[in-house]
Amino acid sequence: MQANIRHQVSPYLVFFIIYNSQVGVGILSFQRTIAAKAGYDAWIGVLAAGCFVQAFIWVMYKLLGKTNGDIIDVHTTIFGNVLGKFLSFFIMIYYWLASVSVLIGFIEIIQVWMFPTMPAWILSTLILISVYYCVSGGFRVIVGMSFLSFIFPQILLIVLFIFPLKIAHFSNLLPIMNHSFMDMADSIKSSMYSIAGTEALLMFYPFIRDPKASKKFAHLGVLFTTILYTISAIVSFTFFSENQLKTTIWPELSLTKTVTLSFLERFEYLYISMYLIIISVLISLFLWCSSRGLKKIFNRKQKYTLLLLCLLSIILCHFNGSFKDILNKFIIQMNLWIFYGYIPILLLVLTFLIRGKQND
Amino acid sequence: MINRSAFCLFLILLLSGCSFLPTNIVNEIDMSQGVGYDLAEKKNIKGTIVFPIFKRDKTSSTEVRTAIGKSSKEIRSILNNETRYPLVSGQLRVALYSKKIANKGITDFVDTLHRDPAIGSLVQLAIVDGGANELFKMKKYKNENVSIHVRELLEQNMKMGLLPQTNLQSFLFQLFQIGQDPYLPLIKNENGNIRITGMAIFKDDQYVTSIPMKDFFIFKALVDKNRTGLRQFILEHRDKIVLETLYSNAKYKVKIVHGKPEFTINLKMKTRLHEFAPSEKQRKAFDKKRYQKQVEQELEINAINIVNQFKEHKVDPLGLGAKYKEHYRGFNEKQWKMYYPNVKVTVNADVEILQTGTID
Repeated sequence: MQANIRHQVSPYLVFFIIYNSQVGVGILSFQRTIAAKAGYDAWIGVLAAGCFVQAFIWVMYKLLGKTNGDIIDVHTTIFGNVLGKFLSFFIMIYYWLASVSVLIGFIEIIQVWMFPTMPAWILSTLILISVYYCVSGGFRVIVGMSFLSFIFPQILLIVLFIFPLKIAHFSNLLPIMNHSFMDMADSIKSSMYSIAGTEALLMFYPFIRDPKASKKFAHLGVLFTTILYTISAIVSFTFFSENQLKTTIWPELSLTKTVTLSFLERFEYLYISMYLIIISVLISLFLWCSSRGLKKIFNRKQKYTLLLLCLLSIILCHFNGSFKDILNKFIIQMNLWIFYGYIPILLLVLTFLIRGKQND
Repeated sequence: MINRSAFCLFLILLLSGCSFLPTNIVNEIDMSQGVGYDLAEKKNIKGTIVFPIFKRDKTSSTEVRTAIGKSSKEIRSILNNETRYPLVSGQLRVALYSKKIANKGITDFVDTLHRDPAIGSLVQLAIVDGGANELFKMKKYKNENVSIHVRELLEQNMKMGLLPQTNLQSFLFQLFQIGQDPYLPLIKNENGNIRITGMAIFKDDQYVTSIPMKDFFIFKALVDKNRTGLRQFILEHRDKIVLETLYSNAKYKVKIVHGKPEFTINLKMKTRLHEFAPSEKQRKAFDKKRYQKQVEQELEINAINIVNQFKEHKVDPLGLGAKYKEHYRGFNEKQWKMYYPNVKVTVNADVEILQTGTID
């Protein structure tokens, strides 16, 4: 059930989509959450979490390769039409909620760092208008945007690590492996959420021209983001002392407070503005997944499902404060259970089902 | 097509109509560039704010305003009542605290600098021997910007002189680091000049003791890497030599003896001879080996002296506790605080005089 070749993208572009699906607001604040229990050993947890994601990519490719379609096709082959669509509906809700959580996180950053008086609905409307425009151009436009966001802001933002590294205290990382296994497991669990996002592959798989050839690019994409997250963790661990990091909400943004150029006193404003590109591509990707899924489930035009999701997102963005924490907790649990528990089981079921049919 | 252009028009209107964005025009705000805090009566604080005033066709002048209040932001809002334009803090360059207020602890004041996203982490902090208010109001600096003067005084001394590198970030790092206490430069109004007179050493956030100018050379060598600075040595037979550091590196080794830590500081230094005045008033060739030995001995004694001073006051600006923590997995902060006053520290200096200038 491959998509029309006109809508497909080249296999190597999967690298950029996978990279972009993983990098969001999480990278600005994950350093603190992973260090909460495992202290400054937490960067090892990020590497370990990267290995899990690699395995997950392998599982997804196996699963989708069997039906050559997206997750909805997999569900309908196993569970039939009604139950299959019902289960897919939950995954679409997950995609949507994930995009909302990214949006709320970024709006909070804009409000704290740039415009404290700006109401959330204006910001969410502005971002979602550009997102709507991007998504209505189709999947190829989103891929183009994610390629762009990799080339322009991301590479530049990595170069900025030079400034904090000049005053880094590398001895902060010592002694290595000073925490118990349970603390390390906790850091793996919290970094899993930060580098989550590859599950978008479950929806865009039919849009890859030669899926088999794209597999290595997907793995490379995950490798790149794992290294990016690890470097980012190490840079903030060496820059802040441990108790200082625990007081900092967005370590990566506080790092850029040390950047001063002769023509620009404060760099964070530029940093956050450039980050908007990365964030809006991520939101576009998830909203595309969700709206396309709902389109297939309810047989409505994608335009309408997308519009509905955008409007609901604007409403949800208005609930600040405790709602955000509840939403995040909910999404972390959902992500863990659906994609690291349910999907591998689905692969097993599908394998036996196909074997059974061949034996008949 | 019409649809799309209507959409574009809508976007243009929306974006240009964003008049709810707060705008700050540079000559319609008062940018506070320096703040100073003194102790006032009845547990109040006397705050001083320095800001420049830009006028058309005239050189800019600076204003120094003072108010008394309970917190730094209250002082700002009191001062706001008497300024023509709103006071903003994004351009803050230097924050001064009087010795008396530092005796009580300066966390409360540093907290607001740390919390405000508009303030960079390269703000210079310094302790004033005397009043911060009087220092800002000095007659000599009436026509130039006194806060810029203080900042540049400190920065050039950190870059080229003997002052160890400090700023808001380093202060916070040391404050939060387990097993380290912060230090800040101590400045004073001496006969109508602003001078750096010493280094203020803190116990947590409270000023405890200071080290004089003559110990700067060894202190900087112990806490900073690869910095330049001049020091005069008066050796045997009253031979005078002046050395400039080209490279210095202090390595801290920790050994656990009978459950207690022992420290060895290996100080490696490459220097250049700047002045040589032997006691016999006769010109003679410089005997590198002999003088290197004597300089090493003098430096070792000097280092031990300041370490003993730190131990006496139970302050740890060298971060010996942090180094102990890096090397010993069973680190316990309470136990370390008990050990610290009697901890054994040995210093091995290795000074090499690389160049003797254009003559030998």
